[in-house]
Amino acid sequence: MARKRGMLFDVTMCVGCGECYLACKAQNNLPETNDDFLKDHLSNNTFTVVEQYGDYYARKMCMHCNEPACVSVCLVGAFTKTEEGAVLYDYDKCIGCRYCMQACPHRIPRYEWGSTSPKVRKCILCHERLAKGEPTACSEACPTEATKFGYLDELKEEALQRIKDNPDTYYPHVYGLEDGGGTSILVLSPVPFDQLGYASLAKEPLPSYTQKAMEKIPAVVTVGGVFLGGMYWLTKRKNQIAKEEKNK
Amino acid sequence: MKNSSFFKLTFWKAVGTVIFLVGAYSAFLRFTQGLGATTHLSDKIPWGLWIGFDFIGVGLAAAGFTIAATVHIFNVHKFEPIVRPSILIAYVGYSLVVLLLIVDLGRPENFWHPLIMWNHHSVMFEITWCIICYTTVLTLEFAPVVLEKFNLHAPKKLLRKISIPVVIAGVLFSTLHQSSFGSLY
Repeated sequence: MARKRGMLFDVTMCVGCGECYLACKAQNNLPETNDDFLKDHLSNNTFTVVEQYGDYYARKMCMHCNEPACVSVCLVGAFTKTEEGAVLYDYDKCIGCRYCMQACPHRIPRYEWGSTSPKVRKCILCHERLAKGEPTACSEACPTEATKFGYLDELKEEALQRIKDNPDTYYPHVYGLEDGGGTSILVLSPVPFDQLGYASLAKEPLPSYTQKAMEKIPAVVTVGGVFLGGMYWLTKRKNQIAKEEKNK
Repeated sequence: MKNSSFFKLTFWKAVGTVIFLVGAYSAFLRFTQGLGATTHLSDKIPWGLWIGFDFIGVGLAAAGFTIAATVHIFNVHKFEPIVRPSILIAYVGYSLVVLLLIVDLGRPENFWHPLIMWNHHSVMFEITWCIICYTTVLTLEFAPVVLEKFNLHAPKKLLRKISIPVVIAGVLFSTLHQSSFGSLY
């Protein structure tokens, strides 16, 4: 089984240069969508953005969740979670129902609204580069190592260590360690994460919520079937008896 | 149906025709120019209001399975005369729902994918399959009307034999998916 890879993004180290944004565009052959990268937003042609919140810069991108909502809700299984951690999209299966867009708690998947054969678009964790043993384009481009690529277990340890060593610098929480069941992208921040636009999530992975409804289906079918069958028999019998009584 | 009054123009027929033509033109634009050009859907709002109007057909059909259950399962035969019209309304309702859903899909040419590509964790998968099964049930429940018209009595007899399980299946499929719409969220 391949060891999981991921990225650690440290808000305190990000200088807002936008090199990650440009590297992502180049790597995925995406056209320019805004001449000021700080004003841009995620779209079918933008897989990562750098957002400014006062003095801080926060990167947004697909979090490559451990138990992704998109993988769970896609009715044709167009999304898959790979062993190394990337969440990938298969255009050939997609029917365009956009449930993935509705379901993602981080509001990541974006659509090609202008196309008659639209694709869902998002960061793919440079899946092809990883296969060649290369790091993600954004992590390679980052001049301060604010975005760091590596093995997820090592990055988790490093993130926890950074908080331990610098308790005054960091808000004591590694975003993505357990949020929404955990993700392959970890974030460290000096302030609470919702102040930087990150979704506030409980520890439960999102698919567990619909699982609670779905697992009741076999019971509904058996109990319901027996109940209705029983009612049919009972009421038919009742009518029969009433008829016999009348004929007496 | 009187031939002369069918083609006579009335106010509501005119209104209905205009609505139909506008709708047909919008559908044409949707298929030639995409969803972005014809709807106000966006990355912030991937699902719009029109789906609510589409699924009105489902609400109509709820009466269909309820009446069928009342008469055939609970044996309340005084409602028998309205079973056929309600099954017809349900059938029309569901056919419209499926057709309109196909228009809403980003890739309508792939609408058949759920038949062979399965993800049983997805609530939408369950809803889709229940809709497929329930539309099949409706076809079986409505078939006797068609078979009678063409005097095909042997298939009708076969349908009679399986009618109670079919009606029970219809109630179960409807209950499952009509309640699952809430689970989507």
